[in-house]
Order: sequence, then structure tokens, then C-alpha cells
Amino acid sequence: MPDTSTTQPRTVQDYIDERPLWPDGTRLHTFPMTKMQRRIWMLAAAGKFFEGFVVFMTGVALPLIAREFNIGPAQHGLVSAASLFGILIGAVGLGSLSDHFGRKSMFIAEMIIFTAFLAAAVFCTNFTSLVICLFGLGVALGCDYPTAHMIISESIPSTSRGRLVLAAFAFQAIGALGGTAVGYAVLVAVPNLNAWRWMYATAIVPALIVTIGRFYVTESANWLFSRGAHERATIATTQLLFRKPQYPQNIVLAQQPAAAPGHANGHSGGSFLSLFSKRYRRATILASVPWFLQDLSTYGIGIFTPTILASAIGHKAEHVRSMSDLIANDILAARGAAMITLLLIVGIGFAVLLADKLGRISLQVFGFFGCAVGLFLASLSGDVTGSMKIVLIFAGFMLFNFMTNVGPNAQTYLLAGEVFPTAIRGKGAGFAAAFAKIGAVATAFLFPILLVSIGTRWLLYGLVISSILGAIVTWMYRIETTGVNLDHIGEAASEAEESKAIA
Amino acid sequence: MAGRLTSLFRKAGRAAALTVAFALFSFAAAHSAPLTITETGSTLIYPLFQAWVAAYAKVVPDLQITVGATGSGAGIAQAIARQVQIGTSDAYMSDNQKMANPHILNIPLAISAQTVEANLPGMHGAALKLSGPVLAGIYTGKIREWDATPIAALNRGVSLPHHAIVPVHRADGSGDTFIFTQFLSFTTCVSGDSDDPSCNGTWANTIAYGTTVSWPSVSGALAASGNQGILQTIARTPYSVAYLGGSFQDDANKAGLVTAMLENQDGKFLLPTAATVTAAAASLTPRTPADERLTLVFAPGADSYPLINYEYAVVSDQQPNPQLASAIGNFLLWCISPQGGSAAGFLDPVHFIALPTAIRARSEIQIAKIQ
Repeated sequence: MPDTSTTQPRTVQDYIDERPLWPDGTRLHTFPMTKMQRRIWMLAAAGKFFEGFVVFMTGVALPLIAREFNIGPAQHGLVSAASLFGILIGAVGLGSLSDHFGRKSMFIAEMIIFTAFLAAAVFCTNFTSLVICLFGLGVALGCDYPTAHMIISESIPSTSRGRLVLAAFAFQAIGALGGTAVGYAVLVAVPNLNAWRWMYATAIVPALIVTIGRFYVTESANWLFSRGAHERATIATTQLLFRKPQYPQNIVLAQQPAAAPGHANGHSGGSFLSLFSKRYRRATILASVPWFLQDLSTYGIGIFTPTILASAIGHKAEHVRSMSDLIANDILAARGAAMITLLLIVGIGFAVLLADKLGRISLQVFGFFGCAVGLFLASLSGDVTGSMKIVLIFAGFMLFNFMTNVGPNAQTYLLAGEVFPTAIRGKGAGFAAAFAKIGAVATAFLFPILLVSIGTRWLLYGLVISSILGAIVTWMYRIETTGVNLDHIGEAASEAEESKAIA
Repeated sequence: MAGRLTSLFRKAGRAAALTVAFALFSFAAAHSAPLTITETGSTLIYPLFQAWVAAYAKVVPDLQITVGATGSGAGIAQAIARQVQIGTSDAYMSDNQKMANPHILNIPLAISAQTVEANLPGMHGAALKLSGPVLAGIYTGKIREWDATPIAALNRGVSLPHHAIVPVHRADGSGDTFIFTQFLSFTTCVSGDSDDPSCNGTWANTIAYGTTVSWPSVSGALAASGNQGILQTIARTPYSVAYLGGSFQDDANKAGLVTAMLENQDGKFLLPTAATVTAAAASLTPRTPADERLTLVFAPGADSYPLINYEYAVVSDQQPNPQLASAIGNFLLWCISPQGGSAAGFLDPVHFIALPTAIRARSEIQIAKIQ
């Protein structure tokens, strides 16, 4: 292949974004992924798969664990809190460490943490050890929110970034379906209290293989470049873009310009506080607030989940009277979880197809409005009885789930890892994930109180407003990243903020 | 030297002959002595078990059965520890106990009811209505007087005394406690989902159920061991209330206690009668699993009395020898047979009912596993 890439120094992303030339000088129409790009994507997607697998399997395992360890209602709260607290620590703490230690280090570390706590969970003997294991799994999960996104998006062409990041994200839903299916199968095969240990055990060996595989990926050349590690960045870019015949043959990286004061795209990395500086405030708001609002309405529609599941797959036993009742209820719950996950997969499938075509912002705005309509339809169910009530609940529930997954659920994740410059991308994406989870925790505690004090209808009206607010915030603070080179995304964010300030 | 050796051989020969003779005597004695089965556990089934043992002695005279009323918790524990051949219990083994001891069977022998008795001077024979939430209120100390609004609301037209309630509970590990506290749990968290916000702060979500629980501290509350102890305590304590095994119902009546009508799932207030206990058992027969560990408390159905349970024999399926295994199996088969221990002549006096046919068949399958 003739190599035109050596004519002038460029950034890492410029090299990644360049379509290779045939020996006759014809440029390829597509971006065939290199072996290393495929490996990185597959290992990130596999991580997502196991996260979904274990989280949903825990949902199936928990009733058995609760019975074995005699976990009371108060301790039930601690079990949920342990996972959420782990996600918070993982997203903010470990996720942001990837700005300092590199994407690959945290990519490996999170999977080691995940596998270790997964293996430990199999041998839990009491409530305390279980809480520790769930916290550990939460830490790994939280760390993966920004890390998996960054390691993919910093290794692939800008034009397919949305599609490939979301396709990996979709593996979380596929993993969830797999986890539910394996949980179900184990329950049927081993219908006793020990079933939950077998469930966790099924994931250990595959998780170990993924962990080992992650040692054999290159460090993010974009991150090395942003840190000023020129030589290592050049080697990493060469390894990343290794193909036969080799293209580009000679990689000459441009000198990274020194960071301006308060800017984080240079070597300094920037502190957490820089996320709230004038330059990055817009990106921080766009990444965090809509995600928070999306989590809020997801909890809201959850009010109807028991009704939907009871109508679709049958009622649970009114009281658990025997181990058989417990297993039967758990099997029903697993089927319900599988049904909800299917909706998730369909929605995200559309998001994968549309993200790079229609753009993140328009999909997020459209999705938020669709969620508002879904919530409004569900709120109307309070005025009617009989079959019409079920029709309205179903229509609202299905519309909400489709629209949130094609829109805010997928796009908030995508945007959070794109709108910050490379040097503070870990901190920014980690903060956005943590902020959304704080919202999730707060709503989990507040919703039962609000349901009693203002009732379902007004609560849903409130969520209709919050969904519309999500659309408005997305539009007001929009930073369209579709097809934009990662090197220019930080500029886009700051330019937009500056032009707003001037106006 | 030779004489000493000869003497030594003679002594050794005599010792050997004695040893052989003793061994032969022991062997013969062992085979001629009657087999012995020991039972301990539930104080609720104790009166029935005494009647069974007396009657079975006429059926199999060579078998000796000793009985003990030590409470269901002790019955299960001693059966697991192989200190007795049959442990009896009003509650089935916990899941953890079952998982740790998969060879221990839980075999229903009959169905019993539990009553709630109150010592209300001057009200003997009156109809007293109580519900699970009201009893939970009494046992948590939130309802302190007999004429408190929640009790009065259930008993319109009944003149209730303005006097402090004395709640009485079991001090020992008890299947009765399991049944009663499960009733309080099921009725205070009707959805059965501990994550349901409406269950926050209820008995189900704070104290829950078991053969022993952390009883809330209530001023004046009393504790007693065994059903006999409970009966004696409430009989001598005016304005007290307690849960009592159904086999003590006649004694409770003689003591002038008031048996409460309890609210069932359909909101009906019922007394434990053969009809209401049978209706409750029938409603849950289809849900009884193969290992028969199932609670019958708060059974669905308009005519179901809410406090009933299977009375279990807790037995290892691995006995030391085939003779003992066979003796235990035959005795248990006789207990559940309508022509044997489950005849009305045995069950009616203690207010038990026989197992439904489908459940008896399951018990027979379990008994066949004893080897």
C-alpha cells in the first residue's frame, strides 16, 4: 500500500480515522478493524457481558441468599446499598484513576477485582462476606462505566465510535439475558439453597479468560499522546493499527501542544474541580444531568413492573410457604427479568443503528420526549378500570422502555465518555456515572415516601416534567459528538461554552 | 517352671471360656430384648403421642417407645444429633438445617391447630375476635389495654375490660412460636414481599418468625416453657393472652379461658373446628412439595382457620440397623393410618385431624426411605 500518512505529523486519532489505501492508491470505502481493535472491542464487550450477567444473576440468586443467611428486610437495604456504593466508588475513584495510570491498567484492574470478588462470592458463608463481595463487584462495575467506553472510543475511528461503543454496551443487556437464563437453568437443575453458588461459579472461568486477554491489548495511544508520552504513543499506535499489508507504515505523531492554564487536554490531566470550571461546565452538565433525570424516570416506570409481569407471566405465590414456593417465585422473577431485558436489547439495537446516523443529541431529545409520552399514558391508567387499564399500562411501559433505550439510556452513556477531552475523560465520565447513581439511590429512598404522600398519578406527572426537562437540558447544553474526532471534542465543548458566555 | 506354665495356661483357658460365654450371653440377650425407640419434641403432639404409644404397645408388644415433651426445637436438634430416633415438631426444619442434614426427613403425621387463649374474668363463653395485626400490636406493646380501639373495633357490642393486657409467650424453642409469629408476619405484610413499602415497620419486617424470636420488651409480659407451662401461666394471670397448642383446648376451656376467633385471609373470624381446619389444610394440599416442608399458616379460603400446621416426625433415613429402621417405619405408618393412629378415636380428643389422602401418600413415600 502506498503510504500517504507520513507526509506530515498528525495526532493518534488522525491516524485511526484515516481510511487505508489499496496498493493502486484507491482509498477503502470502509474502516476494516485491525486485529488489535477487534481484540480491544471484544474484551470490552465481554466485560460488559459479564457485568450484565452477574448483576442480573444476583437478582435471581438474592432470594436464595436471603433465605440461607436469614437476611432481614433491613439487611436487604444494605445489600442494595453495598452494590450502589461500590459503583459510586468504582466510577469516581477507579474510573478517574485511568486518567493517571492509563486505560489499560484500569481495564485489567477492574476485571481482576471483578473475577476475585465473583470467586469469593461463591464461598460466602455469612451476610458480612456477601456484602463485601457485592461491594467489590460494584466497584468493578463502576470502574467499567468510563473505562470500557474510553478504551473503545480511543481506539476506533470517529465515524463508527457511537455504533461500536453502544454495541459493546448492548452486550451488558445480552449478558443480563444470559445471566437470567443461566440463573433459571441452575434453579431448574439444582432446586435447592445452594443453587446461587453454582450460578456465580458458572461465570468464574470465562471471566478469568477475559482478565488474561486484557493483558494482551495495547495501552490507549490517545491517552499516551495526551500525556506527552510520544514514543510510547507511537509504538501503541503502530500496534493498534497493525494490519497486512501494513498501513500506515510510518507513524509520525505531532507534538502535543502545551496545555493552556485551566485546560486539561495537555499533560496535566486536571483535577476533579476542573470539571466545574467554565471551560468544562457545559460538558459536565450535559454528561451528568440528563443521565440523572433518566435514572429518575426509570425508577418511576418501575412502579408498574409488578403489574406488567403479573399480567404477562403470572402471579407469584402470596407467601413463601416452602422451598418450592421460593424456587417457583424465583423462576417467575427470572422470566420477568428476561422479558424486560429483551425490551432493553431491542431499544439498544436501534440505538446502535441510529447513533452515528441521526446523532446523539437528537436521539436523546427524541427519547426523552418519548419517555414523557410513555409515562403520561401510564398515568392515564389511574382513570380507567378493566382491560383498558392494562392496555394503557402496557402501552406506556413498552413505549417508555423502547424510547429510553434508543434515547437517553444509551446516549447518556455514550456522551459521558465523549464530551470530555482525553486527559480528563476518565474523571468526567466517572463523575457523570456516579452523579446518576446518587440520583438512583435518592429516588429509591424518596419514591416510596412520595407515592404515599402525593400518589402515583402526581408522581408520574412529576416524572413527565422531569423527562421533558431532560430533553431541554440536553438541547440547551448540547455538544454533538457524532463523527467528531476525539481531539476536537474538547474544543467543541469549550467553544460552545465560550460563545454562550459572549452571547 | 513347667508347673507354673501349666497353671498359667489353665487360667488363660478359663478366662477365654468366660469371655466366650459372656459374648454368647450378650448376643442372645440382645436378640431377645425388645427394640426401643425414643421420641422427644413437640409438647403439642405429646398428649397424642402418649395415646399412640399406649395403643401401639398392644399392636407390637415387643417394641418399647419412650416419649418426652421437650419442645419442637429440642426435638429437631436431638433427632439431628441422633440422640433420639424420632424428633417431633410443629415446625419443619429450617432450610439451613435441611441443607446441612439432607438425610433427615420431615414427615407429617397429622394436622393440628393452634388457639389464642385469653384470661378475661367474667367473659368466659363470650366471643372474642382478634386479628394478626391486633395480636402483633399486643405483642409489640402498641396495644396496651383490652378495650383499646383496635380490639374494640373488632368486637363491637362486646364489653371489654379496661385493663392492661399481659402478653405471654414461649420461653423455649417452640414450633408453636414459629406458627404464631409466622401468622403475625403473614398478616402484617399481606403482599409477602418484604420490599413492599407497606411492610415497613411491621412485625414481618422487624421481628419476623422462628422457633425463637427476639420478643419486643413489653411491660408485664410473661414467658413460660411448654404448652403446659403456657396454660398454667395464663390460667393464673388475669387479663393475659397467649398462643396454645390445639391439643390443650379442652384444658383451656376447663380453666375458663376464652378461645379467640381469628381473622382469616377473607376477613372472616373463625374458631378452630374440624371443618375450618380441614378447609385450611385442603387449600394448601396441592402446594405441598415432595419433602413436605410447607407452612399451613394463614391458608387461603373463606372457611380456613388461619393457625394450623403439620405435626412432623423428624427422622433420619439412615438407621443403625434394619430392625430398628423397620420398627420406626412400621410405627409411623400405623400413626398416619386411618385404621391406626389417625382414627377419630385418637385425633378428636386432642383436636387434631388426619392427613389428607394425598399428603398421607407423600408421608408414606418418605417413610419408605427409612433404612
